[in-house]
Amino acid sequence: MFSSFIMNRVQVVAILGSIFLLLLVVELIRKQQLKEKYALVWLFICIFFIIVASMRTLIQFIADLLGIYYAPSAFLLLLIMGIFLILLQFTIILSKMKERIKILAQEVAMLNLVTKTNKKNE
Amino acid sequence: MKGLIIIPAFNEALNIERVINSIFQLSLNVDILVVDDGSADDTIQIALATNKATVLSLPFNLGIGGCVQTGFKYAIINNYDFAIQCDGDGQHLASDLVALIKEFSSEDLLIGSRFLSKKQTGFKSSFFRRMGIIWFRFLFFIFYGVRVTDATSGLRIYGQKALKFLSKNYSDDYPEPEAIAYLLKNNIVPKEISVEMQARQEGESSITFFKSIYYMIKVSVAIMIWKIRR
Repeated sequence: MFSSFIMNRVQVVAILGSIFLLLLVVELIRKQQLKEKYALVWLFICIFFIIVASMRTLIQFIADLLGIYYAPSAFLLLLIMGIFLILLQFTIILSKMKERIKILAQEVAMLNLVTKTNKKNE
Repeated sequence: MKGLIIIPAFNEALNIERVINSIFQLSLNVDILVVDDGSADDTIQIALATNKATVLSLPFNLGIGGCVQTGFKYAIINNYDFAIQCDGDGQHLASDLVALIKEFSSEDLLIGSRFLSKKQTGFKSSFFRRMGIIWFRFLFFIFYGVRVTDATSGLRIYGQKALKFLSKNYSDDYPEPEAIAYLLKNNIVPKEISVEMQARQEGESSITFFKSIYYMIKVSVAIMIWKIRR
């Protein structure tokens, strides 16, 4: 238990890396390059990284829970699952946007005709 | 009754005038709509110059589904009673088009089938194509309990009710069989009449061998998915 509060080098690097990622996300939100809706997912991921990096026993606990012998693979598993979910979210957004862009293009085509005919009638 | 013939056109500068004229000559008493799918050539100008068709031009290429769907939306907004898609590749015999319109009263979906009559029609297709069509027939029977002999036929009339549905939802590529499934889901049952569709006069079919594999899988999945969709 006591050992979990002593940090080794890799832990320091991991925490610093996570904090850097968090700052990057915050900066992107500040510059409005990231919509809040999607920024939320990234914020949660950053916070999750920081927690996992600072508490070595947590990941060991999760590994034991899942019956995974080698603790880092439990971490990788969670990471990959997270990435999958984000990719799925992207595909959902992409599909929705594609449909909306299609509708816009069709509306533009019809509006163009309307304005042309109106000009002729004037 | 007010009818609309939709001609989707993508880089068809060489053919579009001939296609418009050949339909116009039939004097079907329907309007002709050319939907330009973001062509890079003079398709729009040539179509406009004929003075026989209304031309819609999409700002960029949407693919055949989105292109034809634009025509459906136009038909709905302008209160047409029916719409027909006509690919200008000479596959649709003029007489078939005339027969189809003559047969139409107020069905929601009327399909010109090449396989309805027992006698040999002018249409010849490859072994794989026939197998594909039989497969679709099987799918429609198993999943929807209806007999659709020619689900891939592009020669079809959509009535107002069908147009309303399709203007909301129409697949991007190879939309014909899927449209039947979608309409069946919405309680629109297709009616078929026999047509004689000739083989292509010129040019290759848009479906090559490798595409046909994608085609079969995509369309099969789509037909099944419409059954379970909410």
